[in-house]
Amino acid sequence: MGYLLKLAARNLWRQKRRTALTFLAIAVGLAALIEVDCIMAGVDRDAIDNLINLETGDVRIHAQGYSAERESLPIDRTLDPDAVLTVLKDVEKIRAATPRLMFGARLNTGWEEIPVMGVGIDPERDGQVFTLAEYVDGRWPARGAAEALLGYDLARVLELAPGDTFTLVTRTRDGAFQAIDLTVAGLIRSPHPQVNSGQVYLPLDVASQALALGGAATEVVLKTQDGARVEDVSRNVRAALEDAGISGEVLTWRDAASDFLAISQSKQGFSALLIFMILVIAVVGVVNTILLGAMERVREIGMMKAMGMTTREIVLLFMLEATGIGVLGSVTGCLIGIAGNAYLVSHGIDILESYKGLDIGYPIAGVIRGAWNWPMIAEAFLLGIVVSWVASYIPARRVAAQDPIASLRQG
Amino acid sequence: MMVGTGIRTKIGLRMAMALLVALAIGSTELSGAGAAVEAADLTAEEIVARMDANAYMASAHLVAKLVIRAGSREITKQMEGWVVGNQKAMVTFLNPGDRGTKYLKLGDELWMFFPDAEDLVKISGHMLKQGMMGSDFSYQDALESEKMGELYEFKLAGVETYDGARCYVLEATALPGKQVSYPKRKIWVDCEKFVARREELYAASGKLLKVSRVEEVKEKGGRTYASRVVMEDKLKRGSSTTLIIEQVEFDVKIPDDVFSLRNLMR
Amino acid sequence: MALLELEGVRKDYRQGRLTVPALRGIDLEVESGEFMAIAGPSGSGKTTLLNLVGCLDTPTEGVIRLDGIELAKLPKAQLADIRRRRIGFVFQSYNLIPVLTAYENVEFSLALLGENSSNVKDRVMRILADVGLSGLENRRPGDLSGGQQQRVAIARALVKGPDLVLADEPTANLDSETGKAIIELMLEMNQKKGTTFIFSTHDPMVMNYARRLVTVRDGRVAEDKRR
Ligand SMILES: Nc1ncnc2c1ncn2[C@@H]1O[C@H](COP(=O)(O)OP(=O)(O)OP(=O)(O)O)[C@@H](O)[C@H]1O
Ligand SMILES: [Mg+2]
Repeated sequence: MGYLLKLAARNLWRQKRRTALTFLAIAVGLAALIEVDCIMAGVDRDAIDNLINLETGDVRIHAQGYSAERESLPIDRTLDPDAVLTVLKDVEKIRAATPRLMFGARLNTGWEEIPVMGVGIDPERDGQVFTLAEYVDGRWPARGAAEALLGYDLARVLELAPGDTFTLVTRTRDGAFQAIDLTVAGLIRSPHPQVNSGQVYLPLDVASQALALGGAATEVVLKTQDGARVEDVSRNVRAALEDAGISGEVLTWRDAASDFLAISQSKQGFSALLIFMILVIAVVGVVNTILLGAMERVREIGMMKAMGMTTREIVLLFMLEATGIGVLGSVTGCLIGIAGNAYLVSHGIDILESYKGLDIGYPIAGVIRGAWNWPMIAEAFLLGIVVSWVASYIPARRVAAQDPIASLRQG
Repeated sequence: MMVGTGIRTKIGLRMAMALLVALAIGSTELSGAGAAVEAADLTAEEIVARMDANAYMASAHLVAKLVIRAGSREITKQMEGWVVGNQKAMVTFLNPGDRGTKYLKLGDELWMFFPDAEDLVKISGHMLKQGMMGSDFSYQDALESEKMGELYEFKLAGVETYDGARCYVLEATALPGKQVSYPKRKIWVDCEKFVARREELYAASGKLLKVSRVEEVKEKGGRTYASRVVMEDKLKRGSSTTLIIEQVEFDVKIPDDVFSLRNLMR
Repeated sequence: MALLELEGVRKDYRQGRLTVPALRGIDLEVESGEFMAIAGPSGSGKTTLLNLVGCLDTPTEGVIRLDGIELAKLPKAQLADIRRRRIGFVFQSYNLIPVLTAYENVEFSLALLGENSSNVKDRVMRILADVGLSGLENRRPGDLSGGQQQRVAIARALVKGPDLVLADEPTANLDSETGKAIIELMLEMNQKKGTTFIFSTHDPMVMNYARRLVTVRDGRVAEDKRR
């Protein structure tokens, strides 16, 4: 085995250019796989962060039956926020909670009208759960004030600036038309595209009153303490609500994330495609290397067999050469991949410029930063080696099966 | 949300709405019963009862034109309609772009047919309420067939001259528990003919949303009807819908199968 | 008992529908320690004979016995094992492994036997000295002359101490001076170690060194002379 290893290594070294070409092709494929995965992992992480920080919180509570009709933004299934907040006081591992009121509306500027999502927020509590306040250019609205925060993209389309007024046209719980006159207090430029393009935030008390809801909210959202499992917290919240006789639905951010898991799956499809391409590159490269090597070394192989080397040993020799290519490809690919990852993690790539206005269905925008996914890198490493090794078996067998007499007669 | 028919449904609905509204307020008999009553003697309730009574006709067949203005854009639609009371209505469009598009209202149900897509849409049940997300009209508006007097409480705010005619000014406030689109309305009712001359529609907040004005009144076969009605959207500058009734016949016999799904899809 | 016995050995090659008789009945006995040449015109069956004796091929008819054991009855793996342990090969075109040094080429022969004891180095260095390559151990075949390469091949064949060395025209690619030196080396090794040598050649000068000269013609032994 030792002498076969030495021989394999020497043979690879002898055909430097061919070896390099093959292992670099594998390396590039593996590096691409690692890079893409790094971005995807980063996108997922950012998307989940944005989802939690700007949309769903860690855990949220709706009135019974709300989620089933969530798409239509019903306002006839509401919660009394004070009652729910009182119950939550006694539940462990909750850092903060805040009510929100989501409703469909049309934003009317006097010459244009477009559909938006109205979001009633509790100006004093919202910042304890959501990071919205970090992204506000302008003033944060006050309780009871007819003021609103507008997504930056929405404001740009409608040519609205802080200080301008507009009307939110909607329907009350009873179906009556309602027109809420509001002043733009500030603009939101967040990393969550939907927040920037379709959301209007106004004080919850103003919204709830206008919709004839008497202070009710469509959800109470809470932030858990660090290290708490959202599933545990949601279970405790559910129990506490039940004890207090409040019928509600308790969801975690994971339930909402299932919406973009579909995209995660297409992401996996993309990785699968890359893996397939790597397979093809590796198989073609390795098979080519072995067959060319065998053609050049027909008499050498004949001689080895004459000297008593078994077919198995010759197969092993060629498979070692192929595996060597795989190892070189894997090492190089992973090093390139890790270097690329380091850049993507520390600098990221700016998709805002190239994909402006493109809603890819992910709650992300701006600079995408990669995330380390070491298991994937390990997988890529093994992939390169295993594929090369497996791909070499059949051509190696063919080469080793040659008749030594015929081989020796050649040349 | 709006079951795929999207914008087309909405714009079409807006037209059908205008038509139905116009028909509802549009005609009254000239039999003189109204003219004999002295204005000052009537309470708000009595005025509304007279108006309600007059507003609903037995049947009519008409050809009308809709002019929709949105800013500098102007679209004209031609249509033909058959109406029986406030329960049955069939509207079919005649202008090239919409030819064959039909609406059928049967009590609380509204059907729409789009010939190019061979698409039959029924609007009913829960879609009525959730459908519109604060848009101009809801399906519910189109189907509101209860009489005004059953939905609102009226107050007589005074008598004014409007567009050369003496009018009662009525303020309507939705009765508790009644689901209406406009919690507040203000109506100018002709003191002699008991026809609404102008109507203002308000949001729950008291903001004025829409105004409909009767610009022209004609007579036909002993009836007065509004032949030109303008609906203005007060939230959108320069946005209005004008309904012009070009031909009308009252109290005609309309075969029942006009108001059938079979006719809708033909 | 003779080291090698051939009785009525025939070998036919099939070329499509054609049967090419390469050997047509060879009877031969080779004693241990012989230094034997096989001569004959081109196509007479010299290489075929060496291949059969070298366990690379099996006869169509007849019996070949090595140390009294009939080769045709052994499984392939055992034939490979015989080649590995007991037979050394020297080829016309040397057939060294180009990526290995002279030393490593010789060592390879022992590695195949699974030998890695400390005396491997001694044995390899001694045999390389015996074939006159001291100081050239670390050269690759590409950096050696043809004669030197053939010396490495002889060392490689001899290092494992085989019973039999088979050499198919070992001097054919060499000039006559070098060829002479190689055949002298082989003879020296035969005398020093007692290893049996069977080699084929066209060269009368080389034949002259042989202790026994077997001439084949048309697949038959035409002459068998001992000196
Ligand atoms: N694999 C083969 N298939 C068909 N015929 C073969 C094969 N090998 C050898 N022969 C034929 O068998 C005969 C003997 O060939 P062999 O190679 O043994 O002769 P040789 O004496 O070694 O000749 P040379 O001196 O040219 O090397 C020749 O006629 C050759 O053409
Ligand atoms: Mg030959």
